[in-house]
Amino acid sequence: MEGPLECTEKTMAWLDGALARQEAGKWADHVERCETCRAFAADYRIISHALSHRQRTGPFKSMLDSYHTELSRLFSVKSAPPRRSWVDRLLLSPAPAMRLGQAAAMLVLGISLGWFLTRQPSREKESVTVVMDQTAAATARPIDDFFHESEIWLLDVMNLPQNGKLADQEWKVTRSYAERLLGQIVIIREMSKADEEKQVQTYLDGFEILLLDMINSQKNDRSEILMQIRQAITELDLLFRADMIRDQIQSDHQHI
Amino acid sequence: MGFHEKRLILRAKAGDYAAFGELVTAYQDKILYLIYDFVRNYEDAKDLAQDVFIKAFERLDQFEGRSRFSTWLHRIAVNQALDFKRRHKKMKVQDLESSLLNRDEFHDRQPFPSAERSLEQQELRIQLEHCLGEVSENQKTAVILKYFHQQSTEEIAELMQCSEATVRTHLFRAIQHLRKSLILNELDR
Repeated sequence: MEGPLECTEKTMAWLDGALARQEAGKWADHVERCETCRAFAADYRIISHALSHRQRTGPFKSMLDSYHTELSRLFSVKSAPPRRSWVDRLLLSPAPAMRLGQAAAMLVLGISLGWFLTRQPSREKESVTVVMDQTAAATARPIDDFFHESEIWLLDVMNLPQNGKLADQEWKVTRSYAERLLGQIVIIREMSKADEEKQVQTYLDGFEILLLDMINSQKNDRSEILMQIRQAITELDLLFRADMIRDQIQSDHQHI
Repeated sequence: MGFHEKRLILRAKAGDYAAFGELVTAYQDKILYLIYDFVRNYEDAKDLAQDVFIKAFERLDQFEGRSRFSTWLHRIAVNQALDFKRRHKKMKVQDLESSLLNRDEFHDRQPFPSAERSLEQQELRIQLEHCLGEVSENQKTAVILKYFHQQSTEEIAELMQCSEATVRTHLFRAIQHLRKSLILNELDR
């Protein structure tokens, strides 16, 4: 049996809806029988209602307006510099001729990769896992494995044939997400090589958000391709692994 | 924390004032009212709320997303308000009763169901707010966060950096004190 202190504390929790269903039922029976608890419950109802539903006084509207104006002036003066597209980031040289050369080289690389992937149309997810297992054995860093796997998956997404089930616009959106994610991977790799942990973390956050955006971009669309993409994100556990890597980087950083 | 908010925080971390501006717009009134509940003066609350947002922007790098952004912001606000109170022990307290009578000029109003009832409710609230001045700072903080700002016990614990059991004890003791004071007031009449 509870003492008077525990009794009243429990009555508060009961009235606040903080007790589990079964316990709440038992306590309701107790309050009905116990006069002290019943009196406390009645008072607590009045006090908590008065506190929770008090009418706020002020501030004057003019003061509130000036407060809003001052705050918006403080935080909207500067805006962020426009973000460069991932293509711009990849094409390092500002000279048009060099950029053209770099773009051509990338195109050749893209076509070769596309050819390589499309000549194995029956490739199942298991085979991707096998490739990844080998890579994992060769490399010690989980971040490399993660991005290698993500990259393969994203290239797959980009090379999925447009089968007519997906509207052009939706397909463009999906491809553009895949492109941006690939760009993000390139940047993270660079930073990871340069041991810029903090930047890696920020971009990893960005990667995660983009993935989530990709999942949510056409939430109501149940078409096969989008379902496949969502399933792949789940199967490869990309989000979970992104979290794990972030934790790993953080603990490494703290250790150093 | 929603995706949109997470995104705004990331952009703000990268130095984007406009993104932080959106976060400010979302929380500016909540923070002002929260600070007011501690300092009881809107001019001071306004200045302190501005300081809270400046401080939050400066310390955004320290926000690791372990708690909700709102909890983190509330913690800065509560600390700022309590610091201010410690520095200005003899604060000028606004006259609650007169401000209630002049409520037509105030920003947010809610109609009361009946005049008689509203008067009783007002009296009770004035009494409670008066009694609240008599409880300890921790108890008062817990009451303000729970009943005035509808924070959960878990959030309050995170904000006050103590266990949930401690929060419940603060709340319980404060309520006991308020109850006792109300009963004594009733007997005095």
